[in-house]
Amino acid sequence: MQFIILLEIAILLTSGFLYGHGINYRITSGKGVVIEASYDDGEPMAYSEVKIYPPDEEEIFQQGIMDRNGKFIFFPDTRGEWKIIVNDGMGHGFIKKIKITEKYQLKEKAYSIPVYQKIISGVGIIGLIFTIIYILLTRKKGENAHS
Amino acid sequence: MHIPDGFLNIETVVVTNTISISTLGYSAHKIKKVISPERIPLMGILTAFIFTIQLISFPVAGGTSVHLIGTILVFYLTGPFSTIIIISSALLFQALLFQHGGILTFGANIFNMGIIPVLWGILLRRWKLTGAVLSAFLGSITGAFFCGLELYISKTISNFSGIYMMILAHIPEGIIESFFTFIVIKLIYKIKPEICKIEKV
Repeated sequence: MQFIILLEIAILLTSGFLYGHGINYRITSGKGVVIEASYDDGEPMAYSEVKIYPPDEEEIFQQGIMDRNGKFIFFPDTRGEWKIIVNDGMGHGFIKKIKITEKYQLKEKAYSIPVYQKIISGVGIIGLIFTIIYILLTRKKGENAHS
Repeated sequence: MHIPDGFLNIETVVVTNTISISTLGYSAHKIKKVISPERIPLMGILTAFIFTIQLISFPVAGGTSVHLIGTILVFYLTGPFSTIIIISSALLFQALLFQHGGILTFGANIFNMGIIPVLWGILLRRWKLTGAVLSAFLGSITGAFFCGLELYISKTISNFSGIYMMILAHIPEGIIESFFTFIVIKLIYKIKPEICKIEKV
């Protein structure tokens, strides 16, 4: 058990120091809708493919590649829920739905969650679930031993 | 190597989910008979560990990123059936909590990062540490190949060279994975060998 506790401490400590390189994105709007995508170290997802789908339509509204700084802009012409697909061609990317208002503006900005927040909350939730399973199983075993 | 939803066509989704969910069900059936409550904390910690290392990527040449998989390490600490359960749990948490990977592509991700390395593990485990190093490397490369193939079949990557690129990007990852697996397994064998209770196939 001591070994397991030490292993857990090691994982938690290491996770804080390791360098993240997942995908971060930010979607904002000015005159058009701006998509910025990068890996966790800030390296842009340069030249990744972008597909934009208008609300309730299967046909692509706009297709292109990001610039070398991992940026892409498009100008929506109708209100509703638009779909954005970004794909770097190596299995990395994201699909995000955004809402466009009547003035062709983004209803609210969209951001990805930083990797360290994902790790802390994920490890916490997993720990909680497995602790519950452990308690349930040991209690069941104890009940069987008594009967 | 986490394929998001919408990146695979329906045929690939059906085939990979069928294979992976069947394997998951069979693994659950097998460990249900032998699992003791004392193994649950270790499984929980390994799930958290896999969850963490798969979220931490590092850049490789070509402007992309790769991450460790950790399957063979878990395989040598628990065995094939527990490994499938642990990897699937970590992937499920990643997909449900943070859309890292997808729900429809859950089967494909289990197949690439769980089933393929475990098959290498089963094949090479008679050579102990050498087998661990080899299967960690080959598991990563073969997993990347299948990931690329699934994306190619689904027309998410337009030409076959995308698969070569994926394999090339995962060669450094495979080397780091092998080294990491070797160090950790050697350390655990030295200080706490009784923790390694590998299930028989």
